[in-house]
Amino acid sequence: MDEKHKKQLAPGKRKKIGLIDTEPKRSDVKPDGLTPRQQALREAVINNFKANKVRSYIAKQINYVNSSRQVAEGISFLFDEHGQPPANAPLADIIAERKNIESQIRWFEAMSSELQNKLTKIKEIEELALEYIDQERDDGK
Amino acid sequence: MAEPLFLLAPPRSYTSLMNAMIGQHPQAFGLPELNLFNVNKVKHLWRKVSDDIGDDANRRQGLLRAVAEIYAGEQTSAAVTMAKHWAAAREDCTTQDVFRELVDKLDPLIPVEKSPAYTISLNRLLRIRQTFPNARYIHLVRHPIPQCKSVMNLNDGIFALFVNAFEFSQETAIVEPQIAWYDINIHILNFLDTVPNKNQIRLQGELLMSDPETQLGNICRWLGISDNADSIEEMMHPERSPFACFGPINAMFGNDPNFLRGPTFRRHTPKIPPLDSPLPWRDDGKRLRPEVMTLAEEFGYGELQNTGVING
Repeated sequence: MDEKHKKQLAPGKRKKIGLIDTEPKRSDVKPDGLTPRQQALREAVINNFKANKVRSYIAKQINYVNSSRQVAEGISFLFDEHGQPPANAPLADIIAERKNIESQIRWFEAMSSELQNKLTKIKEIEELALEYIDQERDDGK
Repeated sequence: MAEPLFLLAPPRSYTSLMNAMIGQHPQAFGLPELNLFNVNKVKHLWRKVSDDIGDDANRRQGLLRAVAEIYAGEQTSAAVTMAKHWAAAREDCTTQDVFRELVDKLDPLIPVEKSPAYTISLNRLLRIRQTFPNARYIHLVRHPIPQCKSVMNLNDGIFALFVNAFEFSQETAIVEPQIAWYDINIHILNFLDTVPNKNQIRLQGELLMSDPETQLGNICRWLGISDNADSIEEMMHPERSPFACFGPINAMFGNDPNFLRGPTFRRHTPKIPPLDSPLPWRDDGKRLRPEVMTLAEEFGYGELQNTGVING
């Protein structure tokens, strides 16, 4: 290969501004070119990212729990400490609450139906996956 | 053998859509993300990876779907199982040989591939060049602000974190996606210096979104394939690609899940913000770095100049 051709094949020399070409990209492997302080800061950002992921998962779960609690609190005024309706509750309030509860029941029914659909789909996927694993196991014998 | 076409771009730059569109041309074949050039040997795609913040050595679902489709003509669980055996039989082969084998099998169709993971390492890009000295390349560019915003919206910016795009100050480090935008494009430019001019073009992704017929026609003529109305019409339907949907349970992905969920092309004119606009992912009022602005201007974003195919 002549010199001219060699020169044509050489990659350009434009400078990067980051550390992108560092493999492998894991938090336990420190990229070259960082001071110990920068390494510590990088690790802190990664830990924060991982913590946020866990936090958002927990927040989602809490949201489900809170929805149930809100419903319980919403209807609690209809009952006294013995679980009986108060003697002097205004009729308008009771009707409004009845409508509210009916609307929430419809909402729950819609949710339940949607979850049932999802469950059916997930079960199909699960069955397929188990079937696949069984088949793999059989093939391996 | 028809030389393959590679789309080179940072992630979130319309690569999935464009790959599927070009791949729908009757003389082309749009592949899923094969990620073969990420590693040296096929077996390395099966090595254990960190479950920490991710790795890209295990992205093999695109390969399995491609093998299933090419050799079995379908993407069922059984076909993917066959694809795993196909790969196992080649575990000690280099990924370069395996890619060449797929290209031979597809001949005379032009294979189109776009794994964004190639662009994060110059070595990966050079593997492509070693394998296919006459391959062609489209450098797909996107305005840095919407691209970075899109990166940060995807799973809290995990990609920028994954490629170590950190900005350090005295007391803190923050994830700064414009570093990834810049460095990936620099990788591509440095790599394309090794490629003859006739084998490369650069294209603004935004233009493809707003005026696809013209841009796809230009690409067809550059590739030397038919640019008639029927071919262009077919290219307007990326959703017809066999890879434009989720795969079977044992290889569901192989591409951006957002694309798999909604692969239909919708013509629109993307908003192109001025380069000195505030950055939506920063709350300290900082703007694009001077280097990033200069490179974006070089790509034609300085004065909203829509030049389309820039060189080639």
